[in-house]
This record gives sequence, C-alpha cells and structure tokens, in this order.
Amino acid sequence: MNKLFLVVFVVIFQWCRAQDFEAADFGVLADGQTLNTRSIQAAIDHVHEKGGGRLVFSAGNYVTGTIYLKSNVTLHLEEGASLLGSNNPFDYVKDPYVNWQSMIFAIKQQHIGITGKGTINGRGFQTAINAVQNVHRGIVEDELKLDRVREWNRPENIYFRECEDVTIQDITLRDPGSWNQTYDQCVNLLVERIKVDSKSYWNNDGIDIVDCRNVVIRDSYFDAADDAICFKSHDANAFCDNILVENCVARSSASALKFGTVSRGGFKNFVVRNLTVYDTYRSAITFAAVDGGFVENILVDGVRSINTGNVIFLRIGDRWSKGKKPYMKDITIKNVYAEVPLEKPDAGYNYEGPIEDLPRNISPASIVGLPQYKIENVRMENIEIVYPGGGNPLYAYRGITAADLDSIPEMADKYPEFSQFKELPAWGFYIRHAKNIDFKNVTFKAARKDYRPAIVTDDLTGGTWTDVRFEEPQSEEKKQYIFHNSQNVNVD
Amino acid sequence: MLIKPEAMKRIAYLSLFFLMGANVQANEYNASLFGCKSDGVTNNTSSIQYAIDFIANEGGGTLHFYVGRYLTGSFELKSNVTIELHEGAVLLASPNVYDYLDYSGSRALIYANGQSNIKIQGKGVIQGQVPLFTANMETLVSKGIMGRDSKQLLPDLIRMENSKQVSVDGIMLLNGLENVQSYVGCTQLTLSNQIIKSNVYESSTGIFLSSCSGVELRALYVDASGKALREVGKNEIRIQENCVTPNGKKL
Amino acid sequence: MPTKRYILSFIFFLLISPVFSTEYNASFFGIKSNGTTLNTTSIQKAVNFISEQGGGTLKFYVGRYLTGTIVLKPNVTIHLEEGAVLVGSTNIYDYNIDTPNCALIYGKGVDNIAIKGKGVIDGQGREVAYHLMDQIHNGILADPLDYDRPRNRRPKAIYLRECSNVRIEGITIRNAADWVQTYDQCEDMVVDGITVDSKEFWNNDGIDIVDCKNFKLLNSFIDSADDAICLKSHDASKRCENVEIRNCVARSSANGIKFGTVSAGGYKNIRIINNKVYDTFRSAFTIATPDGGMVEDILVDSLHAYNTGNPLYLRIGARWNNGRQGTINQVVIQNMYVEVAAEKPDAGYSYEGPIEDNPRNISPSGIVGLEGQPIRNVTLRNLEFVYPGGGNPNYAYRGTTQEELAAIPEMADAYPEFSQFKELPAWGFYIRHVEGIIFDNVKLRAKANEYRPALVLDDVNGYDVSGLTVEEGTNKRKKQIFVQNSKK
Repeated sequence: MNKLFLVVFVVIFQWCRAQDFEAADFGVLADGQTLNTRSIQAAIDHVHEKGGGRLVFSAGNYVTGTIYLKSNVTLHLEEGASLLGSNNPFDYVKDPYVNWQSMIFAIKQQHIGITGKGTINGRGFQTAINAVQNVHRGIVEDELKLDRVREWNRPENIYFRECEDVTIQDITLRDPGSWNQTYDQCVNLLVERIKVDSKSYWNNDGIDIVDCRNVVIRDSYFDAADDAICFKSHDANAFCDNILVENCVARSSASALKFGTVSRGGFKNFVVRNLTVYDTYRSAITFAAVDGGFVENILVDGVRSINTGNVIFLRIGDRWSKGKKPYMKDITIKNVYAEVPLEKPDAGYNYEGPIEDLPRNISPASIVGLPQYKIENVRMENIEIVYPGGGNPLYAYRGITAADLDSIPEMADKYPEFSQFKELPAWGFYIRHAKNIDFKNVTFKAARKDYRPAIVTDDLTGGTWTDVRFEEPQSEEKKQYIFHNSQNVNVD
Repeated sequence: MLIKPEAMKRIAYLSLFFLMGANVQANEYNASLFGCKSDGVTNNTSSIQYAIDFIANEGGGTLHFYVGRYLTGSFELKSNVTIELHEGAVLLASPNVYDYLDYSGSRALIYANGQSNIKIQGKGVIQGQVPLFTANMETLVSKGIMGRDSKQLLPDLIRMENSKQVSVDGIMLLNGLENVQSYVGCTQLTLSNQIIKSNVYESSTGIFLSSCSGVELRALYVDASGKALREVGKNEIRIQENCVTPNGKKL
Repeated sequence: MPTKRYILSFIFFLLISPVFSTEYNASFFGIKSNGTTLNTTSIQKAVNFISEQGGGTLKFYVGRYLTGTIVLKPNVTIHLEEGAVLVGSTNIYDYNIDTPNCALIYGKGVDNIAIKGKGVIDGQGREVAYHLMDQIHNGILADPLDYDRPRNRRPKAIYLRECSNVRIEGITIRNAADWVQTYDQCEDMVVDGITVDSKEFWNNDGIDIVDCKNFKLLNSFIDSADDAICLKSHDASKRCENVEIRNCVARSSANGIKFGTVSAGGYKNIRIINNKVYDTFRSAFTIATPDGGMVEDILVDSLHAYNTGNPLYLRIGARWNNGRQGTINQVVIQNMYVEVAAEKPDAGYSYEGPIEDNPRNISPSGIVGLEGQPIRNVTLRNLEFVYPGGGNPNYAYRGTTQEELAAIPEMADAYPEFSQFKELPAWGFYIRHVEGIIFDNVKLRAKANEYRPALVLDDVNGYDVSGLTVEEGTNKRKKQIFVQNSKK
C-alpha cells in the first residue's frame, strides 16, 4: 500500500507581537444584556485599520449579533469571557456570499484567529425557537422542514470562508443555532485545544471543514448533537486536502469523524491519529462519497471507540453526482479498538439521534460501494471490535443464500448511514462492491451468539486476510465468513 | 413578497377561525409581531428595521408602538411606512455611539433618504440619552479610538434627506444632540403638534432645515439649548403658526 | 419492602400525633429541586394529600422547584425555607388559563391556609408573557392584544378568592406576568413581612386587596411596576372593610398606595399608618371611585414620600357606575410629608411609567369630585408638600379667570389619574366639587417661582384654609389662594 504523504506544517503567525486592544475601551459591555454587535464590529474595524492585533475580551458576558472578523485581527477571549449570541433572529445577518447565518463571519480575510480560554455561546436553542415563531407569524419565510427552520436560516457560531492563516485556539464553543463552526475553502487552518459542547439544537455539528487545505485539528474535545468532526466538500471543483486530526476526543448523537454527507469535490491526504470516540450514536469513522466526490490517501491510526453504535462505514453512493464519477481508494485504518453496545449509546443526551431503520439487529462495520464504483485498496490492521452479538432472526432476518444477499438493495441515491440497509447478513463486517480489502490481525468478538456469520462479502475482488479471528459463544463450528460473488481473497 | 402564498393562506385561515387580531387592519402591524420588546433594555434595532422593510414590501402600512420603552439604534424609514407612537410609547435612543449607522456622512436614530409618504405620528416620545451618549463618546475620544472631530458623528433623533410627503406629527422629542431633527432637500414637509425639549446637550438645535420646500410648521413648542429653528440654504416655509419657544417668542 | 413499611409507619405516627402540626417534606412526594423537573402534579398531589389528612405543612428546602398552577386546599401551609424558590413554568399551558384570574398559586373558597418562610416565589412573568404572546400571534389563543400586550390569561403569582383565615408571611414574590397577588373577598387575613419585587412586565401591581374584610398588610416592602399597594372593589355588593396597612415601604412606576381603579362597592374603615413611598411615578396616595363605590372613614397617618410625581389625589368619577353615585366621605390625612420630583421619579426602573398627558407643568395635588357629587369632610392636618415649582406658561398654561377655571373638563368617565387634566391652574392643591375641607397646619412649598397660585378652590362648600402656609421661591407677596364659586 502506498505510503501516506503528508507535510506536517506549522502555522506560524508572526505579526510581530501584535498589539492588544481591550474590547471594553470600545464601550463593549460585559453585562450580559447590552447588544454589543456594533461596538464589537467597530472595534474589529479599528484594530484592522491599525494594522492588526488582538481584541481582548476580559471576563464577562458579551451579547452580540453578527460580527465580521477582518484581516490580522484575533478575537481573544480570556478565561471567563463569553460571547453570547443574541436571541433575536433578526440580529443575525444571512451573508449573501455564503447564504448562511452566523454570529462570527470572516470572508476572504487573512491572518485571523479566535483564541483564549473564554467561551462562544450561541444560546442557539432559544434563537432557533424564536426563528420558528417568526415563521409561524408569517413574517419570515421558511419551509419548516422537519418542523424546524432550515439550518442556513439559523446562526452558527463561526463561519469562515476563503480565509488564510486561521488560528482557533483554546476556546470553548457552545450551543449554536445550527452547525457550530464552518471553515469553508480556507487554507492553513490550525484548530487546537478547543472544547466543543454543541448539543442545544438540531444540526449542531461540532466542526465542519469544507474544501479546506492544510488543516490541523488537535488536542480538542467535541461533544455534538450532530456529527462531531465533519469534513465536507460543497464545491465539485474543490476538495479537502492535507489534513491532520490528532489527539481528539469526540462524542456525537450522529457520527464522530465523518466525510460528507455533501461530498461533491473530495477528500485527500488525511492523517487521523489517536482519536477517542464514546457514547456516539452512529459511526466512529465514516467516509461518504455520494455526490461525485472522491476519497483518497487516508490514514487512520489509533482509534478507541467505546459505547459507539458502529465503528467503520465506508460508502460510495450516487446522490447529487450530476454525472461526476466518485471513487474511494487507498485507505488504511489501523490500531483500532471498538466496543459496540447493545443499548442506545447516546441515551440521555440532548437531541439524541433518531431511532430509525428498524427492525434490525446490531449493524456490522461496512464497506459498501456500487456495482460500477468499487471501493479500492482498504487496509485494516490491528483491529479489535467487540460486539454485543445476540442477533435474533425472529426480530429481523437476512439470510446468506445468494438470493438473500442479492436482495439487499443498492440504495445508491439514499442518505448514507451505517443502518440504511436495515438488517445486514453479518454481525462483524459487511463488504460489497470492493477491490483489494486487506485484513491483518483483526479480531471480531461477539458477547453472545448471533444467528449471522461474522463477515459477508459480496462482489469483492482481491484481498489478503491474515490473522483474522472470531470469538462468538457456542459457535466453534460456525463458518464465520461467507464469500458471495467474490474472488482472489487469500485467507491465511 | 416575503411570505409565500401558502403561509398567507395559513395565516388567513387561522385568523378566520380563531378570530384573532380582529382589531388589526391588514396594513396595521403591532411592534410585538416582530419581536419588539417594551422593556427598555432589549435593543430592538434589528426587529424594527425588519418590520419597516417588511411593511414597505407589503406596499406600506403602519407600525404601532404602544405604551412602553423601546430601546433602539439607527433604523431607516421606507416609503409608505408610518411609525405610530401611541401615548406612553417611548423610542429610546441607544447611548452607544456605534449603534448609529453612517448614512453617507450623517447619522440619525431615524433616517430616511429618497423616500416618499413617510410619517411619524402619535402622542409618544422619541428620547435621546444625552449624558450617557456623550460620556461614552468622550471615553472613546480620550482613549484615542475616536478622533476629536467626532462631533460630526453626533446623531440626530430624526434626519430625512431628499424625501417628499414627510410628516412628523404630535411627537414629543426629548434630549437631542447637535440637531434634534434635520430635514435636507425635502418637499411637502409637515411638522406639527410637537413638543421638543432638548437642553441637556450644550447647543442643541430644535429643527434644522436645509433646502426644503413646501414646509409647514404648526403648533410646535421648541425648548432647545441652541437655536429653535436653524435654516441653511434656501427653504420655503409655507406656513408657520402657533410655534413658540419657552419665552413665548416665535421660532 | 422495609422502606415502604417505614414510610407507612411514619405517616401513621404523624397521623396519631395531632398535637404537632404535621410537616411533610417536598421530596416525600417526589418533588424535585433541580429547577428543570416540572413538579405541578407532584406538588398538587402533596397539597391534596395533606389536606385530606386533616392538614399540615408542605416544606420546601433550598432548591428551585419548577411548577405550573397549584390549587390550594383547606388547612395546608406551604412553607418555603430560606433558599427555596418556587419557580413558575414559562409555558402558559402549565397554568389554569381556562379560569379567570389564573395564577401560579390559586385558591378559591378554602380556609385556614398559609404561605410562609423566607423562600421565594418567582413567576418568571416576562417569559410567561412572551410565550403567551407567541401563542396569540400564532393564532392559537385569541386575545385583543390591546396596548400590544396580552389582556387575558396572564398568570398572577397568587390569587385567593373567598378564603378565610389566611396568612402570608415572610416570603419574597418576584416577577409575575400580571398583578402579583390578589386577595378577593377574603376575610381574616394577615400579610406580614413579605417582599415584592416585580417589575418585569406590565400591570405588575404589588398587592391587590379586593373586597376583603379584616385584612392586615404589615411590615412589607413592595417594589412594583404598577400600583404598589392597591385596594380594589370589584363587586358592587361588597367592599373593603376594616383594612390596616402599617409599616410598609412602597415603590411604584404607578401609584404608591391606591384605592381603585375598579371600585364598584367601596371602602370603609381603612387605616393606613406609618408607611413610606419613594421613587414613585404617580401619586403617593390616591383614592379613585369612578365606578359607584362608597368610600368612607379613611385614615392616612404618617405617610412619608420622597421623589414622587404627586402627593395626593382624591377623585370621584362616573365610569362604570351604572347610575350609582360614588362617594368619598370622612377622610383624615395627617402627618404626611412629600417631596415631589422635578425629573421623572422612576427613571431607570424597569417598565417605567408612561410619559403622558402632556403638555403640563408639574401637577398639584388634587381633590376633585363631580358637579353635585362632592367629596365630603376631608381633614388635612400637619402636612408638608414640597414641589419643584418652575411652571412655564409658554409650555402649558391654565389661568385663574372664571372662564379658564370653568373650562377645565370634568372628565367624569376618564381613567382617574393625577395628570388627567393636563395643565391645572394651581401648583400645590387643586380642589373642586368638595363639601367640607379643613387645612390644619398644611405647608405648601415651591422651590422655584411659579406662574400659578398654590391653591385653587372651585365649587367648595365649607372650607377652612386658615391653617395653610405657602412658600414659593422668591415670590413673597403673590396671591396664592384663588377661590371661585365657594364659601367658607
């Protein structure tokens, strides 16, 4: 397998010990009540015009609506300082360029940052509720899909677009009205030591990196109602490139580390190291190429996934591809330990993931391409996955006859999710439409006997499986892997 | 149109069957509909501006403020929109310098440019917070954030430019800065039944007129620390009646 | 289960000990102090249970207890220990909105009840009102929205009707969506040592005592957006009788101590003794009877008011009186000191009183009956009222000629308020349609010169102003008393 190429870069912003400016000097009030939008904006503009520096917020509560960050300005939130989002939806701008709402925007700016141990608290729950009321009153138009205002009509905490040299450091991000923080087509982005508590309302992602280049996310903690660490590709002509995610902890009522769902351009040259996932409803790691995008040259090294509904879900689909051909190849996932629970892993969290795709027994890890678009060259090494087992055929059943396996729908244009096929015929791993899938030192454990085999492949060509082990009570004689329409898989 | 027909239908349906809003005409809007709060501390700027734009888009109408204190920064009036301040309603000007937008070099709490058929009426009050505002501004100047020429940034309570069929009727205007109200290049301008009290700022002009025509001034009481009426350029004041200052003189 | 047995024997023990007032902890009924669990049904069960057991005390210890409407039952005391907060739900549907006078704590026809302790009742009134507003704008609830606020369904913090033997002691009541507390046709009731802090929404009266008999309000502090201490009479066949208000402090963006506005039946034998009023927008003390109510035997003694818009306003009107004539008879006001504010006295408070009835210079005190329906037998003794003076005739003018005085409208059916006539012709006292009034050691002082006289009497029969002294700025020789159509 090809070696991963990654330039470890360090973003060094040296604006010569830039000057500090106190927000309070601009009449910005920390009383938790005064709407400071225009004062903060005036302060940012001032710092920007003076050549840059840090705008420092000392401890206190600063209410604001939409502000725009400008080149060479860093918002520095000292410990105890909170930027609080206004609860009036009209206090937020829907930026015409990105067509989205946010508390902090930066568009086409360079050398910007948000730092310090303070907090950005969108207070998005109440704002989102108020936005719904405005629709009900007939003064704002929104289709109210799923009885909520569309996510672009609710404010995020941060939305940066086409910015360069961006530093997000040490801050805590809380309770946005929509996604939490989006970095869209940015170059040289450093996110480190941040804490995300984003579960106050629907679509509360932890972080969204869209079509960015040279990104480091490290030493950070993400707790999100929706996807925790999420890479997207909105632009068919752009892609996420040269990304490092390391030493992060993620919790989600959707997926922990995700590529997609919107995946028009692609994802390339990623290293994910030392990721801990817990109490997560869907997948610890999921890559989706469903809109014509590609996934290429990805290394995932070191994942501990505890009490999480699914470990790995790789998927090629054909949803909004518009004729563009997706591909997914050259992926290494190694040093993974995962425990999949019997019960709902995110029970008790705000905005729990929806109970859906029933009836099904516990879903296996999966690699699912399409007949015309195979997932290629995936190597899995040093992996142990502990399942609850206990799949009950009277509750949900998928057999392993050719007819049973062929009857599994392709679902090419559906929203990709590990549970989308409902019952799958394996309890450990399900592989379909793939080429060259290698396993080395991979252990599948089921705590109780399952009616299904551990692994089912369908339309798999090529692969070397060494040291693949199965532990399942009362199943010593059971054939744990089933090859259907598969060839050239060498099992040692 | 900001509302989809379906939404309108839904609203009409609800109105019909729940018999609500029976006292509200189609083009009459309560401030609370737009989330305006009468608590004196919520900054209502965005809600008021949204309301005005919405009403203008609907072809015009009246935005009603009932008794209460509505804190706000700058907003712009649009054609065919009337602001009705009922007795006891106070539009309270923000003391924050930055809450006033720069409208091509001038600032005001209520601003209009190139609009027609605009009215502010009722027995309510538009109130500046002069000592707070000037203290804030002095702080900014002393810290070097604002230049010493910042006087040009002083907002008027009302400023209308190049507009026609403008009427400000019955309002009490309290505590303006350089100019309580300014009208530049307006035609068919009527100011009537106003009480102006502006003595906190050292030299506050009650009414500033520049290049206006068709001006009618009726029943104004102007108690201002500066000039009651200041005219620049050629103005055509068609009528002035019952307009007095505290010492009983005409403007 | 041993615990169950323990609990049962515990209850049994309590039941057979009638010597002690039975106490129950809130947690016993599963009531949660976390501030987020809605406890309505648990608290209601507790109240019902205690009442069914013959009565006792439900104790809330430190914590936040979220709840909707609780209906009180006989012989039950709610005891809020220091640190305990009964928090009103912000969901309007958690209140008994189908009942007129919905409230967080509601009682009708129940006897021997009490709310005690150093704890707090927090109505979260502004949020409740906003939620109600949403529902009205969405068309779910119908409301005329006069003044752009909900007219109906705003919950009070406490509403008790036809209850007897009631004690409210020590508690703090905050932030109702409407009147804070209303006691309607209650008898033998004492409100003692409470604190009211309610300025979060419109119509936040501090306390409304409606048609009550044998009622004492003592030692309390009341700071409210609307009238602070308010006696009302809703029922033409009832009245407030034997009411004592003593040792209280009141602050209001309306009136300090008020009778009315609704005053159908009337008020008899009311003693208002040793109270203070400050930072109050309208009158320190006012009686309004525009709805046919009979007001008699009223004593106001030792009332001190500072930074207040108006000292005193007594008014008969004819608004909703249905042909019945309101009366005011036998009013003694003594030992009263008032400083009237030059600027808006409640500036900076939440929900400031509305700027209205302009243009007018500072209004005088008023005693204003109706033609043929005079206010009778008023004694003013040992009063000192200090006014700012400075009335400017170019701003607002009312002269003292016969025509000008006659031109003052009667405004019989208007809402009675000291400012209702806009400019009045006196700066100290304006007295019209009165029979029998004595000024005994009354001092009126204006700090700056005035264009108006201190006192105007119009249609007054039997007046004695020999005890009146006037000081006005630098005016030493000005004629301060104007009398028209009157005799001594």
